[in-house]
Parts: sequence; structure tokens; C-alpha cells
Amino acid sequence: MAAAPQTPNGQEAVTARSRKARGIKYPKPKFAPNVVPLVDVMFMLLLFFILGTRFRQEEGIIPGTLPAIGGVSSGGPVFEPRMLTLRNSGTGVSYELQGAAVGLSSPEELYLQLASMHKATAGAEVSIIIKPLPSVPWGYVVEAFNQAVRAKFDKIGFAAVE
Amino acid sequence: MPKTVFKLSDQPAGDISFNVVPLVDVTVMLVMFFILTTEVASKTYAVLELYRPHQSIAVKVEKGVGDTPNRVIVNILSKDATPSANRQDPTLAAEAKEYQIDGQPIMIGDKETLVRTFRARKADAKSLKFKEEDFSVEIRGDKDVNYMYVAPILRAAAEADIAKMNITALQGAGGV
Repeated sequence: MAAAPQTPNGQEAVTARSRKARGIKYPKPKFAPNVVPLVDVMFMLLLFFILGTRFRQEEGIIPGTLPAIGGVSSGGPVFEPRMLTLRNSGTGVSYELQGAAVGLSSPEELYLQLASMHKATAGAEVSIIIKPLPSVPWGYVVEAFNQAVRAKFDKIGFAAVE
Repeated sequence: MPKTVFKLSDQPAGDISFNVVPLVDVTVMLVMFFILTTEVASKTYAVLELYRPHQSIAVKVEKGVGDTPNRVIVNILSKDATPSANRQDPTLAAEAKEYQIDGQPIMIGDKETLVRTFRARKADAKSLKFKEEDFSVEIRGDKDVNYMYVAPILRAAAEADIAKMNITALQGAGGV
């Protein structure tokens, strides 16, 4: 039988074997699953999501009822349609209302302009035609459509691209 | 002076163990966060850059499989598929790559296919007892794509006698 290990000072070192020999009981070993593969997979998933994620954004629809001008038609009489022209100005877009250029620096100004135009019709059913030039980015068209609906125009149409 | 006796561990020297439970907890939480917030492309809703208008009045519609029998959603994809913040070339982003209806690609300018698809979808909706006048076309376009690529959809909708048109936009305050 091998001699019990000793400390440098010649005393018997306390080891598992020596404890067992003295009748000291260990607590039962805890259940310890190997979590290394779990951590590996989790990190792989995390890496995949960090690199490939594109956060979901809340989207919705802007409802439109369209007059029989220029494109989609819904029939019904059209009363003095207003024309809103959108031109690509390079850095953004410039607006023309009824053929006259209007200096609008923000979408809120466009809304106020359209709202005052709608108010001037004194409740008559009036339609507006948005005429974007071919090179206008779709985002600006959506902006104009949104402000026209906000200004309570009942019928909004799009002019055909020439 | 009493001699100090060091009690040595039963484990061999150098065997260090970490408590990985908090690490696993945090990692699972992060994975769950990403799973819940990631935008997943579907056949009906392609992944593209939508516009958020100033004081958007966009109304939320529930997404789901088979939720669109009475409308046809036309996705307009930009040639630049990267997120708008990373787009370097505005000319490339302004060009449309293709239209997509329920995952089916349609060539840009192919008005005949658009009209045929609209008519077929309208007939399907009618057979499902939906009112013909309620059928709508929904334009879901990339915000940087030029209007010239959207206009053929409007013309096709007019030819297919579709009365209603909706535009997809992001909700919230937004603005340029």
C-alpha cells in the first residue's frame, strides 16, 4: 500500500483518500450536465441573429379612394380636381400646386397647404391628383399621399407618367 | 510559532471551473430577443425599405397566411437590397429590380402579366363571396425606387377595373 502523501513539513496531507479513511462523508455529487454544447449552439445562434437580423417595423396601409383620372378609377363625378406636381430637385423634391411652384420645406407645410386648400372648397367633394415626375423617389409620393389623406381629400388620384 | 498547514483542494491544480449559468441565461435571452424582433421575409411581404411619412396615418393590418384574399399586394424591390442606411449608390437604389406578388417575380414593365394576375386574383376573391368593388391593390414599394417603376402598376390596376388602391407605409411620426 502506498504511503499517504505528506506536506513539506512532514504532516499528512488532507486528501480525498485520507478523508475517506477517516470516515468523513462527502455530500452526494450534484447533477451537472455538460453545458458546453448548449453554449456552443447558443453562441452560433446569437452570431447568426446579430449578423443577419433586420428589425421588424410596424407597417400599415394608407387607404385611398381614387378618381377616374390618370390611372386607377372608381367612377363617380369629379369636381375641380386639384393638381399637386412633384419634381425631383436633386437633394429632395419640389412641389407645384395648380401649376404654381410653392416653397415648402417640410411635409407639415405641405399638409397645411393642402388642408387650407380643402377648407376653401367649403365641404364640396373635391379630388386631388398627385403628379410625380418619373424620377421622383417613391418615398416622396407616399409622403404626398399621406398628407393629402390627412388633409381630408376624399379622392386622390395619380397622374399617368408621360 | 505554529506551523501553517495548507489544505489543498481535492481537484488537481489548474482545474478551474466557471459558473456558466448566468452566461447561458443571458445568451438565451438575447437569442429570444432576436427571434422575436427579426423581420422574416414571407411570400406576401418581401423584405424591403418602406417609407415612414410625417405623422403617418397608416392603419395597421394583421399579417398572416391567407389574410389577403380580397387584395393583391405588389412588392416593388429595389436593385439595392441593402438597408437604406448602408446604401451608397442612390442611382442603383432608384432602380427597381422586379415586382413580386405572393413571392412570384414579375419583370419591371410587364403590364400584361400584372393585369392578368390582378384579374385572376379578383376572380378568386369573387368566388370567395367578396364584393368586387371592395377588391384593392396594395402597393408596397421600396422608398428609394423612382415613380416611373410604380406607375405601370397603377395603369394595370386601371385596366383590371380595380377601384381601390392602398399604399403601404410605416407607422409612427417619421418624416423626411
